Amino acid sequence: MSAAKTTKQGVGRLLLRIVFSILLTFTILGTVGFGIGAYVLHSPTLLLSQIDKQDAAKKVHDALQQKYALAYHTTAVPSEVYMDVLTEEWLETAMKTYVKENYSLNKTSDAIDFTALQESITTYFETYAEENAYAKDETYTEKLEETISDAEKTVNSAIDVFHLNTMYRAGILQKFLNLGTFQVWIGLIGCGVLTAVLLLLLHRMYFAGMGLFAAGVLLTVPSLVVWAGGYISRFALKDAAVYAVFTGTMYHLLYLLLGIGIILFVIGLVLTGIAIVRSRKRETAKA
Amino acid sequence: MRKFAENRGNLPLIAQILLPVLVTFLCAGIVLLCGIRPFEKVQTYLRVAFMDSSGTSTVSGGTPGLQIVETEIDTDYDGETSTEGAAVIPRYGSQYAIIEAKSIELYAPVYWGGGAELLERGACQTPASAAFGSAGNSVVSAHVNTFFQRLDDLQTGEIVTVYTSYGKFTYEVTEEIAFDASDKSYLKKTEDDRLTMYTCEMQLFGSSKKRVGVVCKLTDRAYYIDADTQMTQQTTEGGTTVS
Repeated sequence: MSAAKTTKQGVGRLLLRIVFSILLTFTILGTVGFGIGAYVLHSPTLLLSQIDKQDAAKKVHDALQQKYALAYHTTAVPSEVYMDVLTEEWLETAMKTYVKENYSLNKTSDAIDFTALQESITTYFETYAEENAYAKDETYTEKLEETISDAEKTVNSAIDVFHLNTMYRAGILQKFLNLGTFQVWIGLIGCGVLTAVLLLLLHRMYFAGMGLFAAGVLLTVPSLVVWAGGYISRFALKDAAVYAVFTGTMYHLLYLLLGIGIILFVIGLVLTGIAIVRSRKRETAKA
Repeated sequence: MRKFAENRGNLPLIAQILLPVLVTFLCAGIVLLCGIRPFEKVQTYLRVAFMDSSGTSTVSGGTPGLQIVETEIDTDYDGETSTEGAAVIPRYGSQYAIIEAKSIELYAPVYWGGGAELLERGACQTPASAAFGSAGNSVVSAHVNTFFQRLDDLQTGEIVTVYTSYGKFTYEVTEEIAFDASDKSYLKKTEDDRLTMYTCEMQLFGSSKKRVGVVCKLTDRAYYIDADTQMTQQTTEGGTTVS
């Protein structure tokens, strides 16, 4: 075989391995991306855990307490009428029910049980009417219904800490959750298989390590920049509960990406390093 | 030659060290290029999802004195309405409406004013145009790579709904339009009551000189009526005054 042909074959093989390494980088990124997508979209576990972790129920409770205390001056309905029912336990259950209902895309108007709240408001109105000899006329009934309706709207808005309702109205939630049932899993399996195939094709430690190293850097560096720059914390959200659960969820995903990135980076660096050391030893031995 | 043939698999040491770095940079470039559109989409989704929870922000480094106010707009108002009423003109930079078109999954905040800072956050209504529900032409624009990405998918007969703090207004698409950026004919005052929505024509790189959009006629006005007076005020001796 001529030297020129040998050189051409060598260069061709090298380029092919570099291309496979680049493809390996993207299949690894795809596997990680689809994996995280499946983790987030397949079930509401992440969101539910953040409700607990960020003590969202207490924050919502405190916000409603403040709101109804201030509203007393205009509505004359004491905050106790609402807050005796809207306990932290009730709010936590309602929030989790709300998340699960939205994840199932099965939005029904009676998922949250407002019976106790309705009864509390009704009892207050009846007591007040009796004490003040107020006739239970049409105005009374309208006012009662309006107060109950407003209370339910306020609570529904307060417990929707992930703003799933707004995302549902905008069609965003359905888009993502429908993806989660099929395309994400196909993507995950596809990228996983391709990663395995490329690792087999690249039976050289150096090139496999290069792919892992590149994927690790592409996950680690942006994650570090976001973490160090505090970009997530800068998200301006006026509701304390919304801010807490949103940033908590974002940081959870960020740490996940960072951890995976560091692992891939280290493995890639080690494999590449070992391959370089071995090749140098082989050269030294031949010399 | 034989020595070369034996060593054909071994790159020089410097090449072995630099090659992973170069491949990483190459992959980073590809990811950046491919990631621009998805990143803008994610930003848009986040702005839409949290638009009524963002509070007030004063933009620094942008237009001096511009105060961007994001407000809660009730899209589930079920109280009394009237076909007559008055629009409430907000302050420049305030979000004052939500525009919805279910057929193209459009659900975006509308700001009163214009400029880069506001266009990043939602659609913008030209202050020189008629407020929603008022007589004349209400003109709304947004970026094509974010909120109005599917505007050219809107077809004649489809419904666009605008929710404001003072009412809900329903429009029906009557015309799909395309015009040059220098052509202001679609943005002028009109005798009839309409909504004109437009954006840039989608281009891969750079901005287009062509504008695309729709003209919609106002089909329904529903101004919100304030709640009736609550329970009759009564005062008992030593008791509490209730209003």
